[in-house]
Amino acid sequence: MTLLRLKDLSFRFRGTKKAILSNINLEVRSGDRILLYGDSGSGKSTLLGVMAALAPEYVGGELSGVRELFYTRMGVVLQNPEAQIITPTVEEEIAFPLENQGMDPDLIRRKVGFQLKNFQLEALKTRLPLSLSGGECQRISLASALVQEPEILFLDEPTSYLDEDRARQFFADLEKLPATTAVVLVEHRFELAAPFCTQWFRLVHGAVEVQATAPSPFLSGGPGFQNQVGGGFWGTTTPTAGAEEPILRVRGLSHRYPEGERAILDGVGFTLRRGEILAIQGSSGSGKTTLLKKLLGLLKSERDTIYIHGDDITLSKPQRYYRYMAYLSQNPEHLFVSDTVRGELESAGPEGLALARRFRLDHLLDRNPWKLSEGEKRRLSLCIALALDRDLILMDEPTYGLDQESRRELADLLLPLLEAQRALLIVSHDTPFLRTLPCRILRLTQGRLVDLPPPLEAPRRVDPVEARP
Amino acid sequence: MIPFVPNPLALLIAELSLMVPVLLAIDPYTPLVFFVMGLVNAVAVGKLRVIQFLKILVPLSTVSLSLFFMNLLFPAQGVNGLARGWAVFLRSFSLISLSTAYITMVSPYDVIRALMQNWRLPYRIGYALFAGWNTIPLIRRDIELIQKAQDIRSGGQKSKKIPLSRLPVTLLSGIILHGERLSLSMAARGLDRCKKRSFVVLVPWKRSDTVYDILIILTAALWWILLIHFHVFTFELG
Repeated sequence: MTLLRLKDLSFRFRGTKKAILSNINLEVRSGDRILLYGDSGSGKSTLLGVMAALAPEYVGGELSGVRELFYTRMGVVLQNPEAQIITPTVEEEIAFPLENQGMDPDLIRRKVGFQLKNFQLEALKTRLPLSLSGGECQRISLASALVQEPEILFLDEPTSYLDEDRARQFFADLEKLPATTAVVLVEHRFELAAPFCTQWFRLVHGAVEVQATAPSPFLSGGPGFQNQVGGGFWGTTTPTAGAEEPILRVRGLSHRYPEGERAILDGVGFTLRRGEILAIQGSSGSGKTTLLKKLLGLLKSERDTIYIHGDDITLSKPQRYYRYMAYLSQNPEHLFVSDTVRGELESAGPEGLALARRFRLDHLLDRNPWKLSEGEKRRLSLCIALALDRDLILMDEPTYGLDQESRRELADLLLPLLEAQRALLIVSHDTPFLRTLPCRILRLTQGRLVDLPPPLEAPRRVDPVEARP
Repeated sequence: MIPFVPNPLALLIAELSLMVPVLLAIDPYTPLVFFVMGLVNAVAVGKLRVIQFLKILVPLSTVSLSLFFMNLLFPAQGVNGLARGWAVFLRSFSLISLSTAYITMVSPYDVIRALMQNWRLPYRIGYALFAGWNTIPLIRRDIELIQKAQDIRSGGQKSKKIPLSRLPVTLLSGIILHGERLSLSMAARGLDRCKKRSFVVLVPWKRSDTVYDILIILTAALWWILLIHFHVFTFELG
């Protein structure tokens, strides 16, 4: 059964001349599992919004061509778990779409009860969703979409903010969908999405190209950074490991939250020298953020645990050690202090403007940094970090919200930082991305750092479960 | 016997009916009478959490103390500063206590639910308030991170290059973006299309709420009349 049909459809946002989608012809039928992929800004999310009747209805814009929507029930899961949670309890969050239909509360409770059981969320029924992990929030959003028994499910990069394990769990949950439910998925984790989908559409400059095969996963695809590792990469940098005092040395670092049963950090230790990248990986709640907060001075640390350039920073004032450090938060905008890209780079340091060409920002100098694309913002923040001329660069989840191509690009952009003999500490859940970098990856597990084990296997298919109560 | 749990809006009406006479009085006795009534009501009906109540009340009481000392040290011409200061202190302290008691007796989520279910607050506004309340801890986290990111960028120095207005601008931009996403999430789940929605968590207005409010209003009115009758109540607005 046909659920939606687009014929020669074009779409442009208000105030723009160029159409972001042009001449799209697409049909989605019951049971289709479609992966939409493409570069940042290619129109994937917009196309999803058009199909879900969210664009232009709620975001504005101009639609031309034919859009025929035959479905009556649809579910949507968006990218950011925090930005989808509305209500104060898990039960209400899942019930939200049914309440909006004015359904009988007893029937709603039965349907919600089924989804709570299906997603093993029963114990969390009365909890505040935002007090849960990103992975749990995203499962709640999926349960809220499925409770409507949708004919079609629209998923816009639902695993962008999830760690490896939770992303796999999310796809395992998707496998439980009834066979007749169509899924249109925008996703950059091809290694997870490819086995689930049966059709692959690539968006190139707003046009859809049907692909005969699934796209290559991040690890094996593209002429990116990974290919340089064996060749030019190590040749161009000269790590000075062992030759001098480490830039960052952590030893016996522990932390226990008052409400926690066990220590979230339990005697953590590592060293980081010039020209090195150290990646700290771990699932949500494993202590990555706590570790970063300790290094940034947001949480108090015991004496003799953190040294920067040989100085015990727990005894120093922040002014003393901040001058050695650059910090790139998950949100690159946190770093911005000026109204133009030029202003940002000039205030970062004398080399700022000179670096703009290398980071392909020279044509954007007069633009407002807030109005750049996500990939451009990330490039600008890296450029600022380099222009600041600090020895130690701390990066918190640098691939959050970035698509496949932008992640490859980011990996490439780390090259100039290493060439400049900076030391990089990356905190990230993005294992495929980290595996493309010439770095040591440590995993935080139960408060301790261990070397990351070999890559995990692809998600196992499970028998479909009838999703009707 | 099922204990009486008042609807948050019934509790609001009760608190307001105790606050009105205090707001209009400048004598020292009226605030005391209604403060005691409010406290009895809060403990007996609202199951007041005393520690939480005091945690909020004590710092807010400094406002009342400031008003007392202001009137004591800088009295208007021909006015007894001590008497005036004492009366102003009691009035502001009673108003702060009654409103603090209300805040600690109800859950903000229940107030919003009750407003939507009982007083027809538009759903769109109600859920925007839910989302806004949920966002407060996220804002707190973001403030911390933005400050730290910019402190580190300036090398720990209070740089002239980073204007003070930058934090609110950065924060506000993030909040707007967050709000847009939430709005889309609500629309995607049919909030905009619904005319009459149902609720799985109900905050009903019961007959007992009506009786409770009538009793409180009558008691407050009776005491007010008595205070006026015995020339204890002295009127002054503001």
